[in-house]
Amino acid sequence: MNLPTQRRADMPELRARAAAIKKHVLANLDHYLVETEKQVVAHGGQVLFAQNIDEIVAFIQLLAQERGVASFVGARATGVRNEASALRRVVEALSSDVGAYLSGHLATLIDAASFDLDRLFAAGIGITGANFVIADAGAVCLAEGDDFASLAGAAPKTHIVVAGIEKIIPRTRDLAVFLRLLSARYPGHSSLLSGPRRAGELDGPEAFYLVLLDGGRSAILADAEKRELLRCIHYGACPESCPATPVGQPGALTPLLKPPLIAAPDVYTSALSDACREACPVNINFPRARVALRQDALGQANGWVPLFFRVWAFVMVRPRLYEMVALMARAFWPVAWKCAHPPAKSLRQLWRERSR
Amino acid sequence: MAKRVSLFVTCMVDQLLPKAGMAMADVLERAGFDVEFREAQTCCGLPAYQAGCVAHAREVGSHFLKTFADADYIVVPSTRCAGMLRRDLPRLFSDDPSARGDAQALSTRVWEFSRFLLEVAKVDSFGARFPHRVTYFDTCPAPGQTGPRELLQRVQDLEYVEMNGSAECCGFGGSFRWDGPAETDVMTQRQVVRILASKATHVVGLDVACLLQLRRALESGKHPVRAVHLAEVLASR
Amino acid sequence: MSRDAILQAVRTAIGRKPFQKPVAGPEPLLQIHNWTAADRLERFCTANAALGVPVTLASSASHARELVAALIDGRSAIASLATVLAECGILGLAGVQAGFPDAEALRHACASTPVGITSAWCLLAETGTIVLRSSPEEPRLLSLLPPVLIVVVSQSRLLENMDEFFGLLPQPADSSSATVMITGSGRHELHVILVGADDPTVAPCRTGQHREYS
Repeated sequence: MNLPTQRRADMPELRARAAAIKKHVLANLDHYLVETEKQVVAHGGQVLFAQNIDEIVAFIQLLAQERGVASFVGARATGVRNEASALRRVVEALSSDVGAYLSGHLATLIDAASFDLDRLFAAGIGITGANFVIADAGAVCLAEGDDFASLAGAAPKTHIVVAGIEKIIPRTRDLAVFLRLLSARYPGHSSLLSGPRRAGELDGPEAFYLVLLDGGRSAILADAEKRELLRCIHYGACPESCPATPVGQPGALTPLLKPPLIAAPDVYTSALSDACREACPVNINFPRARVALRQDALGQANGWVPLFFRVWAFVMVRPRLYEMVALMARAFWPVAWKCAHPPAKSLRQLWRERSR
Repeated sequence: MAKRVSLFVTCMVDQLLPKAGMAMADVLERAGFDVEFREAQTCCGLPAYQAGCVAHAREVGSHFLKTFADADYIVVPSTRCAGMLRRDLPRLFSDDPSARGDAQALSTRVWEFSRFLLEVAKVDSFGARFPHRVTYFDTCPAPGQTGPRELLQRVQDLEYVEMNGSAECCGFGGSFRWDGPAETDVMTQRQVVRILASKATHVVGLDVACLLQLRRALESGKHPVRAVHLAEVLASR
Repeated sequence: MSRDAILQAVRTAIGRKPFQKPVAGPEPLLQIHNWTAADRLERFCTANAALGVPVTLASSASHARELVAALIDGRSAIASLATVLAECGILGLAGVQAGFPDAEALRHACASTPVGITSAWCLLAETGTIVLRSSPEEPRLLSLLPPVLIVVVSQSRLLENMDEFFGLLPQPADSSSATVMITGSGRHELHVILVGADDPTVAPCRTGQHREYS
């Protein structure tokens, strides 16, 4: 739980700025979405908005048909874990021949065996995610340990980037904060890609598509307590800082974006420490959001939990009733904690006996 | 005239480890405070809140507010409950600005026991004597605290030894236990092994839930190590 | 249309109207240290030493050419058409192919040649980073495919950090489709050669007298 980045002197300032910038973007997201679209188009690319994965798959299939594309190559920028699952599903859903160049977690290097140049060059479409989408540049930033996503974006004639709408940051210079935060954990290769090749450039894609995915994010945006989850930059400190590692959560958005949207049992896995919130570089109050998620989950299910707590609350606001119930529980039940028998007297009994 | 502190012992201490609460009272008196126990107290609402039953947590939170409205200091022998009251109590009343204001004000007067001693009482020595080899377990949500360790090290005849991985979860974690008993047992066992490796005869912590979790595992393995609350050590003569 | 539905959903979620102007957002933290050229050189070299990337200081154009020849060591190489490579005579070295008639030839060359030689738009001293920008002279695949990559850069292009870079070039996306920042070797065997390294007073980058590629 001792992350090397915590020792940076500028870490508190970086975190504060990152959180503030993300908060601002989320509060003005429509404006930045429109600006992103405008700038991507100005650089010769195209922007699509997708409600869900199915729309993306349909789009890619159509495109592939139009261009006579037989094979694809996909790669994930390090740390873009949710997009990896979306991408994998996209790629898996396509019926054509698929080559997958997936970089591993954090610093794992791909060995020569899984890197196939022929397949790379045969692919007509390269699909990647993005760590950041930069509104004023109409560009995406891929930050990875190695250059596989760059390859998937550079070699095929068409490059499609799939990014959640929450990935937006306002300006290129904001990368001075975000890449600094990420770079300590994912050094290596950061690319700023903006659209198809320019006049005179010999390589790079001829067509560039940025697909902005909602996928439930606008609903999360609407909830004040969950909105800050959308600040997540996939830094990855939360599972590492969790005292309950390795049972901790893989990332702030994971319980939200894997369907069904909220009811994943992961939402209940928590040791009640504050470590994830303290470690988060964009100051997401993850414990608070988790309570909101659990509240939603309870609202949807009709389990015994709400009923239990209804009775529990009834007892707990009535001290004498509480004392009676506790006495009975101790007399008739071995303690749920299965330790030695509960003490003969409660503290309040002892206190009464204490001569005052 | 001595200052007055109000004990919020928590339902777990009240029912399962009253010794810790009584010891806390003794220590506070030795530190020069008048100690009161308000009978109306029950729970902070943490179990309901963490489960997502915010409405029921609010009912219990209101009761807490009423019970301790005029208390200057509320001292709590639990990092988890103190954390709940300090951090989350105001949030229970997000729809009611006036109650929220009260909760906000009250939450700043809630103190986890060791922090109260170090930051308010500013006393770190209580004439305590505890001639044993002792290790310390960091309870959530306050890992890596140096304060309690300092308090322990000022106890006479106490031999302090640091255990490995003291900040890792003991496995209690609220509903964790019910949802994943297999994982929690693994986590608890990992800590038991570390406690034994430290060769301590006592493991000290700030939260009853964690202590009971460890105690259960230590007893079922028939290990002679005892899990005790910091207050019990500081109250020993 | 998904676009309008999504934008509407977002606006409703955050309570904004179409075309509503946002207030100015918070600025990032830009850290400019005002390091001297000597400072920058030392930091760049130290950072790359820690990353295991060899950095060699060439005192002149011909020295740079000798260093590259030694690294090539008889193998075939492809080079970009960067000015500094031409000036150092690197493009004329035996075994070095430069200039490609078309994309297909470029691709084939990049995929089959063991050594790639390129320049960089700038270097970042703080992290030992190499900044490459795609251009008619510098294709992307050249730095992505060959297993060995030799980067030859004038010391005048050694900036402090990415903050200074963005200060000099606020919109990199306008003039190039790909700006890449490489820190450390990754899959490749990376070598950096700094030209003009024994004149520590040279810092034309600071006064904006550097050469533009496009």
